[in-house]
Amino acid sequence: MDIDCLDSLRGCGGAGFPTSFKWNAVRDANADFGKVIICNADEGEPGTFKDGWLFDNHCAAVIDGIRHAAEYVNAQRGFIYLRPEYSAQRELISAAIQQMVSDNKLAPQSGRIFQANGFPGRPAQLDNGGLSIVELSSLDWFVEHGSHDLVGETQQSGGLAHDAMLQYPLPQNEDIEAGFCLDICLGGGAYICGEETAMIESMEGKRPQPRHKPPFPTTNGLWGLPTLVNNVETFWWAERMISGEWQQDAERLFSISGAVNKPGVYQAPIGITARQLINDYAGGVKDAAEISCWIPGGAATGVLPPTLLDCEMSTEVLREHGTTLGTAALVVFTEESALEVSTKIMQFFAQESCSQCTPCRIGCAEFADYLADEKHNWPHRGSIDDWLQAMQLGSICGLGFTAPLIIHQLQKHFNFEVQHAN
Amino acid sequence: MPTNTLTINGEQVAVLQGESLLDACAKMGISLLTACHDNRLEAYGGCRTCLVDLDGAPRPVPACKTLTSAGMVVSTSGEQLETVRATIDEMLECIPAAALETWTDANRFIGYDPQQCIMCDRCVRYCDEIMQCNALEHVGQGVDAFIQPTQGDSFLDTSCELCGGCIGTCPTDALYSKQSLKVFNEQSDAVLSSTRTVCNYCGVGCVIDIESQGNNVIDIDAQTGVGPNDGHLCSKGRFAWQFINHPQRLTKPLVRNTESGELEETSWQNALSIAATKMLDIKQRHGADSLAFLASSRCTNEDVYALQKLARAIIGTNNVHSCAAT
Repeated sequence: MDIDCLDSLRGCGGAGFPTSFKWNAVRDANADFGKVIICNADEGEPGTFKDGWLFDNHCAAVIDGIRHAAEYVNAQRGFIYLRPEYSAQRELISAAIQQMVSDNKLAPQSGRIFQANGFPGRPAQLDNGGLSIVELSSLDWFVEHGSHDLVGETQQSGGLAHDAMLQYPLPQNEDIEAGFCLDICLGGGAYICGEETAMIESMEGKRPQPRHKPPFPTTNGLWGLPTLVNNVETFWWAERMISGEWQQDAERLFSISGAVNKPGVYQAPIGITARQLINDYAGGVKDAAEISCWIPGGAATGVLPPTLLDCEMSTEVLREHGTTLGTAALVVFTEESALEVSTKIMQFFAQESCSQCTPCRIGCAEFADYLADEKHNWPHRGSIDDWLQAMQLGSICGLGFTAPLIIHQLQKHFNFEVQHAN
Repeated sequence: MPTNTLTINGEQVAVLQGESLLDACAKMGISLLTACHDNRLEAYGGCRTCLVDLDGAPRPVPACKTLTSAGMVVSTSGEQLETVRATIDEMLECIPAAALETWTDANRFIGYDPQQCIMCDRCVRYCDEIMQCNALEHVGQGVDAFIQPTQGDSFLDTSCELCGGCIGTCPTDALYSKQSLKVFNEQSDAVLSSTRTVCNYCGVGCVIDIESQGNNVIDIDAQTGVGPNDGHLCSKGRFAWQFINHPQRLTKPLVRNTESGELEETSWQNALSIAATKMLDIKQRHGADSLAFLASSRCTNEDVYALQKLARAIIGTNNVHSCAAT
């Protein structure tokens, strides 16, 4: 199988890592004990709902993408790590897997539902609560619901506890003969579970804390096996490229939500402007109100001012403005100020920090308090810049690396004054 | 054993494969501050106080968690790195307001003060990796995270052996000995002193440090890397010292007055001769095997040898046992 066609494809989960590089790394990794594929459908980035939309509309194509990747890297087992609230999508995936089993495209035992570990905390929510994927992706929903305690809730979802998954740690001979086995793993219900190594830890039944890298999952992933982790959208684009339906990655799926008339997922060329997306795709701003601020690629990409609505939605251009395309999730605000939105994002990060490393555990919380404080008093000896730098350079995973961006964007685009108590 | 040669601060150093950057730095006499690191445990890399610059890495790496490989170029100083480390030290001093309310435990030995806790997970990892009890768990997230007895409110509901190793490994005073807190007198002028000695509860020979204030023992702890115990202690070695000044402690031989039935103070000579007479009397009436000799685990090897000599040669029985044997 040839994947030259994937050369231009970059991962759609937020980090934008070259897809073919990952696929080749897993293909070339040690195969003595088997290999694993994980489709990251945790979709916990506020504002993002393209993965849910893909399962709603192109479920079979996504699974075909996973199957092709499995064939390429020679993986025996695969999991779709699904956001627990996506109950409707869970049924669609189960049905699609069953169909493929009957068509002999997947091993007969495929389609089991496992439960990953989460953080003990708030009560679990294993259905969508009657909310649409757009509503489920709102920042307010995430701030309110945060991480879930899924222990004991597994039975209700018809899933197996994670220790059941551990009973099949290595692909058995019959598995290998039967072909690629694809199961569903319900996510741990925490933002950090979207980070690939935290996700793997949660699947192993541990506290979902990110691992130190290197080694990377491509060589030491789930159960220590070489593991390919890609986003749902990445598998979908890969499938379209491999099947020849699509030539290049000039387009992305944009999740557009917030104060727009027609929130939804739209396929649009990379490089389109935010204003075009809002007006030409999402039906314009609600009540034709004035935009106070907007988010280009999910909560972690921070806020931008309305003056930048005409800039291109591409990683290169957005980088000049201090941010990235992230998950291509555009959120439009008219009533909330940039400061209010940023405060909420920081509070969300503070509550979702896994508490493993000091800079993220303490830093996110202190900055959330700092933004929420009306006088913006900074009570610490070290300067704000020192603290932001310590988070950026001293954290273990992307949550801590990118959280300072929220403050930087406020400083850069909204004249947010840095104040010192000392 | 294969070695790796790497460069630290411009100087070359050879280390064994499998050693961390922290080990390599220690070899060169560079001591990096650590909080979450304990030589006896797997590296964790959570506190971030031992960050060093590594050529080729996108950002500083924790020395404790980074294994050495040949050709690494490492720097342990630099303006930016030092600012980051100083800031992280400052962060560790922060008391997260959210972590102030947590569990209290009915057990008499181990207490927890969340205000001091830096979530380094040393206690949790110690209990898991060394004791294999898993009596402690890390719950919650962000600043709301804290340590608690696994799935319960009390260590007494877990598989905890009350060894107090969690207190021993805690880098702050988050986990503390409740007994010490009770005995320590802040008002007293008596000097606090530390005496290194060997625990005499059994024959292992654990090296212990006894903290005392005047004639009162305040605490018993053990230091990592010292003695056969390497900082580990059992619950007796760490916590069973309140007998020392206990009013009910036996300090003189007592003999029961046959008329009043009360125990009365007597001389060693009298007490021993009464015991010897009675033992010989029993032997005469019921045979030597009606007697048995049990040695306390606090006896030395020589004591136990002498006791079995007494049993076998004088009394004539093989009924001898030392509690240290089980």
